[in-house]
Amino acid sequence: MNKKSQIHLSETVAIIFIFFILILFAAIFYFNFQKVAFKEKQKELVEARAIDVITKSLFLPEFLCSKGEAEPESNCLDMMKVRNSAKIFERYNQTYFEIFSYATITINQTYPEHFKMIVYDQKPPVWEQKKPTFFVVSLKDEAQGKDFYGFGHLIVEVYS
Amino acid sequence: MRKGQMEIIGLVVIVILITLGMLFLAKFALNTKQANTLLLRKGLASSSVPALLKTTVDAGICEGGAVPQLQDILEDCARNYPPELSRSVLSCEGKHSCDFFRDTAQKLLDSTLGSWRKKYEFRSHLIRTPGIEPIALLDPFVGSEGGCPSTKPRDSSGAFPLPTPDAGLIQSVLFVCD
Repeated sequence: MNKKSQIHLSETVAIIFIFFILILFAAIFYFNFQKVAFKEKQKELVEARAIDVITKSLFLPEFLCSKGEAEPESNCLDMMKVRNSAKIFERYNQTYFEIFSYATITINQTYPEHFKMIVYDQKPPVWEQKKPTFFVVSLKDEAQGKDFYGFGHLIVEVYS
Repeated sequence: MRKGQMEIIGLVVIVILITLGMLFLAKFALNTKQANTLLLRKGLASSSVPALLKTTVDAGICEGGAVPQLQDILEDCARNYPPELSRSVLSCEGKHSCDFFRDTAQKLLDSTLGSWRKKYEFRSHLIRTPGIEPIALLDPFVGSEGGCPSTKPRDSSGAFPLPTPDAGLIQSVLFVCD
């Protein structure tokens, strides 16, 4: 083999080698990107479920501030109803599980008095992490006086 | 320069360009804010103001056994503005209603938005007559984590109106950001 051919051959080998290195880099990058994208998608799905549970809770007739046929008050939970909801949830467990699935719903009043009340709690047998989501609400409590509204928030924890 | 050397330099340039392209792609793909997070922030901003204004003040705080809602306090503040020149009808914790509203609202928002490490900014304006420059009813206040200047991506509750029969229209707005 003459010298010129040898040089040409080594050039070809070098180009093929660089080409494979490039493919390897692209594959590693793609794999890592897919891993991150999958985690993000999983996080997004958990957040979407939390929003879904929050929306259902805010509009659930068992919690909603309503007065006869008048328009219900938005972002308001009636504490008189909430206190009795635990018994209803227990009796019709399967019905509410179909609505909320695996989740924990807590009502936390921060003013005037601090208190915390777990209204729904269904944990999956196995879970890796839970994602809490918060929403500010008014807590109407006519047991404390007419038109009495506390200030608090709804905590929805969903599991993945 | 030999032909082979030029080819290698060309290849290196292509590799650098591809790497830079991939880095930019990754940066933009990872920086995309999730729609759910933004939706929640918007929801927090719009639900906090009505919940705040509806809140009933704890019994025994205001003089004369009054148990007003925070919106009554804000209305009283508008009627007796500015605090330096007139006394308010409602007196809670011995403060003018404007000062009491500001302190209580900040405490409540800190107990919720602040504890979730959200930054916020609350403003309240009084429009005495349409077409006239609104008066800042309270000094705008921000959360313990900081405020939300217009340069940052932020969500607004929208101008929450509270009409008063004799003082004008009160407009409150809350900005929430990360």
